[in-house]
Amino acid sequence: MVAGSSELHGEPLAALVAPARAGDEAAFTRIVARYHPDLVRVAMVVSGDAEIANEAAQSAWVIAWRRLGDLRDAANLRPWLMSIAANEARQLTRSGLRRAVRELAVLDPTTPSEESGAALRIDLANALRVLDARDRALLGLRYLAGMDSTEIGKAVGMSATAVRTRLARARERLRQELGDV
Amino acid sequence: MSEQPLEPFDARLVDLLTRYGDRAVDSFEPSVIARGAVLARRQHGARIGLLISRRARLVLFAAVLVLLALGAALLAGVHRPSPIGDVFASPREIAWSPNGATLAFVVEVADSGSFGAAPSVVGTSDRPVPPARVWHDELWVVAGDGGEPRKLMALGSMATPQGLAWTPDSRSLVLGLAPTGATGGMGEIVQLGLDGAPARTLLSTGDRTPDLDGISPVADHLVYDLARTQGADLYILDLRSGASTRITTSQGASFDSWSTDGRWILYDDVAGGSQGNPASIAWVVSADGSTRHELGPCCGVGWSADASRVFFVDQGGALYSEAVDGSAPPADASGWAGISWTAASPGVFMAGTGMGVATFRQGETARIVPGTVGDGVGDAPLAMSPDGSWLAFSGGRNRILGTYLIPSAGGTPLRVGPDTSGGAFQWRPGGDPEFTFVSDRAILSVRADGTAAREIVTRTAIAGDPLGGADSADTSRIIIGPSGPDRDTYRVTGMTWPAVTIENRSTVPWVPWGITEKNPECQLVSGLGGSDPCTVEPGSAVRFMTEGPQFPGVNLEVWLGPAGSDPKTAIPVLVDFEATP
Repeated sequence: MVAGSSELHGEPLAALVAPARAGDEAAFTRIVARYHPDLVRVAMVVSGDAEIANEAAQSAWVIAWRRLGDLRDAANLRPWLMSIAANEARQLTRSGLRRAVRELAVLDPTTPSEESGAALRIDLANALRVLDARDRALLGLRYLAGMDSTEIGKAVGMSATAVRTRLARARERLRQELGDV
Repeated sequence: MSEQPLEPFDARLVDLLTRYGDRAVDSFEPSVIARGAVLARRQHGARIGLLISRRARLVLFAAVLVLLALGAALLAGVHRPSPIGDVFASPREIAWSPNGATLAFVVEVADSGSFGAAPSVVGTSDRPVPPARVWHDELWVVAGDGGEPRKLMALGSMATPQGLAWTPDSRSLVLGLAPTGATGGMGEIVQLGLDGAPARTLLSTGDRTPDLDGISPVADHLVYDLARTQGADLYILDLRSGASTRITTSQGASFDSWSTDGRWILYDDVAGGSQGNPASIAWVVSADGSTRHELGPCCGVGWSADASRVFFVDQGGALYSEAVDGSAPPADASGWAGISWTAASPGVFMAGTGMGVATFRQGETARIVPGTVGDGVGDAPLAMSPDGSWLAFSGGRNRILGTYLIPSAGGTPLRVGPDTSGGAFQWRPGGDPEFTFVSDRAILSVRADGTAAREIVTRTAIAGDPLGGADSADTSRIIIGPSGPDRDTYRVTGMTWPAVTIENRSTVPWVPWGITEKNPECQLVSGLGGSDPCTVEPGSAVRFMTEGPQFPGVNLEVWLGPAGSDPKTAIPVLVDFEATP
């Protein structure tokens, strides 16, 4: 896993981040085009709700535009953006507590080959449900953003040790829930 | 961040999580999203919203000035201790001394002058926002039964204590320090006495950060870890000789606990073991590192009361009890699929079952006592009282998220405060069970039965008095003073679209999170779902409509913070809706 990358479609990220930071909307649009799906994915892992995931990703872009100046190293753009999206998803998830009854996935395969995939998705959805939002954020940032414990700790306000401990337990819980023993 | 080959399960997780996340990825138009983000920022400064009129604001300002003058006159000559930090100081770590006599706590304080200086302009916005703040941590102590807090140490700018532990004699504290200017660029583990003597360096770790894991109950060794590229390795420091022994090399080890007699250390490690390649293996190692014994695939470990046996849960969910030296085979008490354990007190454990909390007593058949399941919120164990009679858990009841206490033998959960699962909490050692936690920038303690709740360190002692007086009379009006909201719980009545008013009496703009979803003005501002909040300007009041109470007693959590602050550090308040449809 590689968290950061110095290029976007062969173009140095710094060449996009710098103008975006200076207010170049076109450069910012190209960043959005590249990374929006990543933000939605990590927000989905955190929230388990497609609507919240998209809302969180969109909110993350508002924050990103405002705080691009805080990004020290353009190569860290992707994990930085995904951290914002994960935190936004956590905020929206806990503020949306009254929407506590989540829509459960319904197994409705149309072909046998899709059946196992659908079942797997349901298993994962149910497995993720046993974790709290913070642990889901840790998983998303580790496995989707490729961040290490120190970076995750800074992003979510925990010590690296606490991140490692919680990640290990969350991973183990998923492993048990998914029957991968 | 460096690449290394993934274990098969990790690779599977990457694939599964990616495909799971893909379910939410719709087609999108980048230019629309980018435009929305840009517009949200530009319109932010032009928002008028439901602000009260300029004339009314002037009247309000004048009234506030008169009140402040009156208050100052009344308070003249009255001793008011200076708060520990500035108006946004926040406690975030606590540690009771083993004898329960002293509470140590860490306060995050903004460096002087870093807030309220000349405003800066960010991006293309014409709206000035507060500059980023520079923070440092301070270590304080206070007598457990009350008194004036006393500062032991101010850490360097942006420095954070890496683990905080008392020595068993309750006379000093030990903590890890990251390499900063304040430590001469050296990572250190230091010991601080309560007598005010200078810190004593126990260990220097060069340019690496030591994280203190725990001190032996007999004070002859401590365990720390040094973070490496992918994880951490554990070390034992002999406090008599000063020698360190590295006990793991996998970069994936995690300390669990000392045995109560100080002879053994329990930890888990992703590497080694004789049973293939499981996720983690539980190990016991002697305090001097000379003897090691593999327990098996784990995790979730805890000690028996006499420290002779170790409990752990294998990957299949079976509970084992095994002699610490490996002399007796493990005993199986199966039936605990999918749980993780928190060793809370000798012989008594509790387990999070994902959607509930269970307790188990050594010697009894494994059974759930009493199984707590929140309504829509997965209960999670926090800590069990030292005598094992009570447990604290984080969860929801009647749709109210919070920290609850419940007798371990069963009973009705009692909500004692907001959710503290991400914050600081601890049971006070000795005496009647007393649960201590951080809430609303104060350090509170409450007896397990809910009686005798008290503030060990008040919010005003830490961050000043928000209003200089009592809470406002109107329970649906959130009044923000220089130190934040005037109360932590508000109550609103109304049939549909009940409203809460936020009045800002501070000198900087404040923003709420959590109540903007049904406010068209905020959505208009952000254009992107209302997550970018409305701003309540100084001297103004904003009336927010809220989602109507579809259920009696429905509850909403709102976070408030200065504009430009991080929502993670915002102050949570609770809004209870008392109306029925």
